[in-house]
Amino acid sequence: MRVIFAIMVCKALKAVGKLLKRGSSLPGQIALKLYPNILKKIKMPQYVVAITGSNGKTTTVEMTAHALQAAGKNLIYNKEGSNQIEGVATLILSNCTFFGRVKADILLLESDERYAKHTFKYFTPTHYCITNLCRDQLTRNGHPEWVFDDIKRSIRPGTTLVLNADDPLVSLFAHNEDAPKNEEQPQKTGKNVWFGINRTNTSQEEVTAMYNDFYFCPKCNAKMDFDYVHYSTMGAFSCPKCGYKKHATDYTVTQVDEPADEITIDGQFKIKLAQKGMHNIYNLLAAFALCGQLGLNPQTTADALSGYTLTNGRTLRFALGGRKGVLLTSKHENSVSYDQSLKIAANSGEQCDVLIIVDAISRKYFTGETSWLWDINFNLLNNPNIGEIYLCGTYCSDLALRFEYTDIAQSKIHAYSNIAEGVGKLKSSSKKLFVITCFSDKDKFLVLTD
Amino acid sequence: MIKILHLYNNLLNLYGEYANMVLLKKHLADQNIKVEVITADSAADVRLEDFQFIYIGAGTERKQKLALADLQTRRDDIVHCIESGTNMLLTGNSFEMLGRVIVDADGVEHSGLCCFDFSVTEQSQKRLTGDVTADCAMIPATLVGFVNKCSTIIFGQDSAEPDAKPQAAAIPASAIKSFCTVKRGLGNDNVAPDEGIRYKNLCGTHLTGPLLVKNPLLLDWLVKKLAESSDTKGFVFTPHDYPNENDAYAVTLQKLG
Ligand SMILES: [Zn+2]
Repeated sequence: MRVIFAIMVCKALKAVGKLLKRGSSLPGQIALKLYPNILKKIKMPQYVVAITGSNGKTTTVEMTAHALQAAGKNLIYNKEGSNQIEGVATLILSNCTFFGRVKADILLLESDERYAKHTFKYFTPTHYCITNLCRDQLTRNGHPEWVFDDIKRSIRPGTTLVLNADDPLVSLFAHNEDAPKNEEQPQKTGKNVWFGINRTNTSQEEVTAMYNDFYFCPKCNAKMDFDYVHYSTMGAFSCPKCGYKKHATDYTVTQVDEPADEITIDGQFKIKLAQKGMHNIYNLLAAFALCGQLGLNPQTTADALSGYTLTNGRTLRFALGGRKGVLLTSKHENSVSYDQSLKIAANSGEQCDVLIIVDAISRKYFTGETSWLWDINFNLLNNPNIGEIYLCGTYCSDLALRFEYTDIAQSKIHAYSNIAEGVGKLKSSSKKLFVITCFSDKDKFLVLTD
Repeated sequence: MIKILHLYNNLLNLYGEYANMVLLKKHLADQNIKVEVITADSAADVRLEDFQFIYIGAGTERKQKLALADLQTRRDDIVHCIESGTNMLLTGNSFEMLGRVIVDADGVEHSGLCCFDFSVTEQSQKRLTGDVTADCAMIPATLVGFVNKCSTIIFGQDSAEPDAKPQAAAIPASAIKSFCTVKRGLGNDNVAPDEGIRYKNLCGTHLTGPLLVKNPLLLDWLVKKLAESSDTKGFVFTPHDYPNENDAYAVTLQKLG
């Protein structure tokens, strides 16, 4: 009875929320209060697929959902912002029968990397994809190894892990497949599935980011080698001492054709890219791997993902005075995300100006912490096609100070604490403009556009 | 000429801490002082007593233990540097290595260098992060910064395990000053406002990230101190204008104030 009651309350609250046009995790929160173990009682579908990591969770979920829907699969999935247990409970309970059976064949979940350990106490994913781990939201997350420990606690025996083979920290999550199988607990470990990107024309020979968290091997502390690097510390790592290295991959991007914005997976499946940046190729590859594990025909997945434009609006086009521009939504407190955006602007091949806004560091909490600016490789903008660089918002002096320690001519740098004032100065030119800022600050710019 | 050692720069380097050395180098150069910064992955690769300033940054809990194991082999040299008045700055959890013991979240005890009479206990349940404002004896202004840790530091013999063997060499708690007194944020034991340690010319603080970048007056203080302790004859500090540093500090102070 308690199960039915909690489900009814959740459904009712969800319906009220819809009327009020407010999607939230409140219904699940209340259902969990009424019956903390409710999720243990739910009959889960055949496939429970979870995706976590520092960057790319939402995008990977959206791409996976799109491909599964295109293949006619019956699935439910959560949207950004409701990835902790309350949001997950809201999704599950509002999509199950009164007798506690989820009305879908596939449950697809974005899981918060810090809180998955709580969610998966109540049910176990059949497939668990970990995209990457990097320095991200230090004011909440501490550091990547701290997050690693939290995710590690969320992994259960028997779950198939879908792992990024190019990430030296994520690769450590692998089930130990060599472990002797225990008769009583045959599922002590589980299957590992690996995805990665082969060497491409644009691969670097070494880590070029401002820091290398894998300068030393995370297993034995010897100096790590990188055969090639895609960005940050993603690539073919190998330890000469203990042999820890990039695992052979089951799903592989075998070619990246940058001018054509096209990739080839496993030597035959061609996919057109609607979003630029190596990080988006990883998201796409993770989605491709998951769909493969769920039994989709790879050609069907490739067709569905080819040219697919994300609806989450990370890349926005705008007009400002006589200018056309692109806003690249990046994450404050996340130097990897910034580096990727800076590369897109620097490698655009067009003459352009750049505007960077750091006004509110987070939209969720207050902090004045700016150390992450020093982890960003702003020197990427030291490129002939980059013209003027505008730095706006409360922390424009921190940005300007950071730019003093790049090779970029100081005459190109213009700082304005008042965003409207800075943007006003930009209107007179007709050159292309790239805007790099966070969710927390992007609307402050967009209201000033035409 | 000032010789600076940035020890464990590849191992202990959380969140932009390299910038401390970048700005220190620039400011010393602006005072016409020649400076050489040496980096080392192991204390065994250098002679600690050759340097006028030693800097060690913050690391993850695991990496701090690796550095500690390495530094154990140079324990006597570290003690000598501290007692002979070498200027040292240890940020984040790196100064924890100087205590008696670090008990990690699994309860494993890692022997410290026993330079100072304090003990460290880590936990894995809650990350302790937050903005800090503090009073600091070295500067006539509020110090700003950020703490990112999981440990509690307790001073005095009581903190040692009852059956631990006596370690007379450690400098007693009564001789250790705090680095600063927090007005906002967490101190050593996460209750009282005392934060970090100061003894002779050694400063240890849990403030991480580019501390010297965020606090222009602390950088000035260090520059003067290093200049005076160098072989530069008749040093006179020449004020320079660093508008971006000063404005960035003012904004942070106003936001945290
Ligand atoms: Zn190794």
